[in-house]
Amino acid sequence: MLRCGAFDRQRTQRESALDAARELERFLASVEKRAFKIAQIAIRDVDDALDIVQDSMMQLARRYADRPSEEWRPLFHRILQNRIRDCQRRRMVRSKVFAWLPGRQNADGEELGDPMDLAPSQDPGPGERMMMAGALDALETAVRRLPERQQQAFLLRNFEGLDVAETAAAMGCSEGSVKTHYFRAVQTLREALGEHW
Amino acid sequence: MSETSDSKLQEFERRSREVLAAGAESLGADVRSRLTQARFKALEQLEKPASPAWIRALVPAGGLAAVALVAVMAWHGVTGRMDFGPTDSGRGDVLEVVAMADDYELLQDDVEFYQWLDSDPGVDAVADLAGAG
Repeated sequence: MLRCGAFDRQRTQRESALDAARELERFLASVEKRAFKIAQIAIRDVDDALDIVQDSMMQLARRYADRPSEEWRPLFHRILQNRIRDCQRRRMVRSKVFAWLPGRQNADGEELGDPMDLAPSQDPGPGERMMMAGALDALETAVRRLPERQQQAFLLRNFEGLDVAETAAAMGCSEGSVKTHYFRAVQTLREALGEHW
Repeated sequence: MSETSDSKLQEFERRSREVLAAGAESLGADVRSRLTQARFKALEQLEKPASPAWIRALVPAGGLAAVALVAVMAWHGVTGRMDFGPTDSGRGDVLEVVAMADDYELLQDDVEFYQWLDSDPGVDAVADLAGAG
């Protein structure tokens, strides 16, 4: 009898753990593509964006899986934004380090700078840009040019569909700041894309 | 704001949302496959046992130690007792790297979010709306 009770308890525990895992998987599957696009627009690199999304997912699963599921979205986007910022900072430090490393000069003795700057740009050149007909390309290009906080506010509010309070939690700022950044972002984008976009 | 500009604004928001969503849905097979792998890796974390409480208790201590180290290095830098080599820029980079310690960022994730969660009375709406979204 006692053994039966313990067995039932174990089975219930296993089932509830399985349910929690399924719920988390559904959540991650529902946000992963948009999270990738947000990271890609901010970082401009597919591999780095994928690393950032994976890292954010792992962090959420490792540390916050036991939190109520309604908290996952703002938490996940908070982690994602922190990882994006970390990546941007690392790039900045790397470019500083390469700037004063000896031996990075060309034949004329000029500084070569950060090798990342020498890599082929993923941003389209002027000729290619003229050929862009797609609305997505035009919008992504315009969003990339927004200041960082405006870009975050626009993507989290408009694309990810977070409300003002959730966006404030994800960005780590007040709701008033979110509204200001979002308003300015929309204004800038409408001006950049023109009436007929 | 006039009705016309209001509706234009809403139209812009709707269209940009649709365009970005279409972009997310048309990701290449390679990216989609790597996102699925990332999700499975994240779910594997659920099976790993949580680190013992004493290790978690050391994380804030580690953060404090990093801050103390930065303060000592900055102080020595100001008083000129520590030689960082011939260039000044090296000193800044070292401090920046130390200050970027991941543990500190992990702490930030927690502390700021839960401070916000506790302090904002309107935050109950997050739970309701997140559920709806």
